[in-house]
Amino acid sequence: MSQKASKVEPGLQLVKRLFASFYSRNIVDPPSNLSQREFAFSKFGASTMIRHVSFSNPKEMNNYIRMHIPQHIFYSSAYYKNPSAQNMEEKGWLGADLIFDIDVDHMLTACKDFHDYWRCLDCGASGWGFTLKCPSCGSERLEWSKWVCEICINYAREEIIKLIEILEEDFGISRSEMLVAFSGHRGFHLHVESEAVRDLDQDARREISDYLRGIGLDLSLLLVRDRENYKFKYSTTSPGWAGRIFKFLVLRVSSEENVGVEELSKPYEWWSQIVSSALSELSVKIDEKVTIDTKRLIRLPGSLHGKTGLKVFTLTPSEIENYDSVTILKKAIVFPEDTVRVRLKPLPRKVLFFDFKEAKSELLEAPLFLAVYMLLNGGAEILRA
Amino acid sequence: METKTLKVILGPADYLRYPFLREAIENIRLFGLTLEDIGNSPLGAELLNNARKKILTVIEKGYYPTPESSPGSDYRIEVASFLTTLIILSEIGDEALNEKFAIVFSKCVASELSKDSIKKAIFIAVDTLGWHITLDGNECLLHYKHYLHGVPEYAGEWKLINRPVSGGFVRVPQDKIFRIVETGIKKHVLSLIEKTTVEESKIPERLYKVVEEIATVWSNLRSELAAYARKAYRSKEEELFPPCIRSLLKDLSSGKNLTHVARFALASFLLNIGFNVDEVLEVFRLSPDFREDIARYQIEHIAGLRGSRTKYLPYKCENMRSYGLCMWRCENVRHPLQYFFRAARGRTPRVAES
Repeated sequence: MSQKASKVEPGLQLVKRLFASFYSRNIVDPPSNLSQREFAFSKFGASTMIRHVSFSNPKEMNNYIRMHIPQHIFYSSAYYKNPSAQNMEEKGWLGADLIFDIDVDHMLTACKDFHDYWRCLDCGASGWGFTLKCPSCGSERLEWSKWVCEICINYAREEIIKLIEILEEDFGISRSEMLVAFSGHRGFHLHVESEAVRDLDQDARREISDYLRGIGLDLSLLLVRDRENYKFKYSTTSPGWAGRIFKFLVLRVSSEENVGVEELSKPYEWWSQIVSSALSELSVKIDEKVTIDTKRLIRLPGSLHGKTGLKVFTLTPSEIENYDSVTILKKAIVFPEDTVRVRLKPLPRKVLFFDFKEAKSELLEAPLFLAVYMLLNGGAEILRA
Repeated sequence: METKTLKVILGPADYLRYPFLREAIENIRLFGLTLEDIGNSPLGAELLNNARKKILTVIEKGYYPTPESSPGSDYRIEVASFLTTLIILSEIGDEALNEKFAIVFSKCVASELSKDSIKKAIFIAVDTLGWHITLDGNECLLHYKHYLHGVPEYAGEWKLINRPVSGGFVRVPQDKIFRIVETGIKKHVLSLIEKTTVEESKIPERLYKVVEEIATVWSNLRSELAAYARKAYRSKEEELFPPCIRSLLKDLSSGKNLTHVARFALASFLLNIGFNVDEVLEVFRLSPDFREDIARYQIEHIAGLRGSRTKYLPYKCENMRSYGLCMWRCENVRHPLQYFFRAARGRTPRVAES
């Protein structure tokens, strides 16, 4: 054991001590149906996961966490007969929560120019902001240093609010069946825990995901011919996407056109454009892979995110509607604010709710919790205070 | 959900036409018919013969025969014969055959139902399939979960996004309900087959003979197809294969190294159209990093000869697309195997680049 532990580098060693102290002072709440869940952990500095762990009671789970001080803690969205069995057949899948993941990594946010840095592994060019390919040589082999700030979290928050609304209105899922969690990093997870969703298969989950993402909408079903033009068939009271798009049109188009949306008679291409902009605004930017997976491992609320040191914590739907992103980030901070000196290269101009636009060097003074994030996510060096 | 407003009373005539009904099966169970009865009694012989004919008709003619509703026909015989088909199918244990049976059966039933009444369809959905569904004017309100369970395809007007959805319920015009109930019945029949378990040692000789006979008929039919596929592969008449598989074969023969998912897709496809492990191995011999021991191990795994003992199906079209292996749209095809079986019947699907 001691030999293994000594392999963890000194910076990580410090973070591990902070994690240990956190877990010794706090009790992590178990997920619902604890004994049917599979847990997975990764140790500090390790790249592999320890899987197929299960617990019969909350105390056992907390003891395990205190003893092993994992860097990351996940549990299964699925319920199993034997969660600790090694293969799926023996595990005996009984059902799974419906999970939505909103991650700003998948979104084009304006703040990426402030804090996301790429370096081309082929030609060595580098720069700030979002790109798919190296603008200099066209290579797709890019190395990234990405950070999260309050602006990103606000984007994610807006998405989760849209998600809650559609789940509630269209799918009739009550707020008491929804659990929102700040993921501890780039966004939120929304867990739907109800009998109705448990046995949905992958196809059904994909359809729900497509519905939320606005994929597969057939415009011709929304329009009706009006001589050489088309009119919108539905109204503001229509359920589902038809009514949602109508409301968008009322806001967007009515003022410009001086005529009610019901009366609008326009060519098909015009409708096609306006409806696709409605979809891009109204659809929810969830990560499809997470939603369709019926055996997903998801971060355990109450645990610490091993790449940020921030706490994964749950919020009710109305809490997320009422908190701003800075409040949310502040609630995720568990480590002390004592100032330490850190060196981080390249230094982003914005991290969490801190601004480094004026910073003159890569050496700076930062509260410990921020230094931990910098160390875990960007290999920063923490110097003695 | 409320079903109070729905006054549907089922009688023997309904059990005759819809032998999968919960009530019908429960009534029959009351008689306590046993496996020994099937093996020994004259009634058992009749049931077995009915069941045998039904499955063979499904395989050879593509419909599920139901007796003419005449004063003399006894629903108990019909339901018990249906239950016997489930036992036979469960004993044969071939997924493709079960699928075929369930599809043919549910189509016949749905066509009967649509001539019958919407109320009866809804009653069956609630009572036998356990769905939340109500009538609302000339539309039905169906819980999204059950809608997604029964929807025949996830495209066009069936796609959830193109339907009015509110408070957890999807609005569906009455005339579309029959199609949704059809898929529901298909899946219900599959689950009935799956739930039917018989202790090997208790299988009567007479039942076993029928199981063997049908299994042989079925596998001969399948092996004709397999022979056809082999010939197509050898003589490079690859139109039988969908464009995704053709493209993988082309990549292989031009010496490209296929990704793991591509290999899985190709191997599982070939195994499912009847290639044996050695034949698939020959195909992969073209691979630049070919190592017989490793390749054989992997192919045997996919064939279900190792590990979890499940024979893997190739990815369906949606997943092929997600993995970047499909750049086409094959008309009305949702699974590469579907393309193959259609093409083999001389109805090659139309393909568009997408």
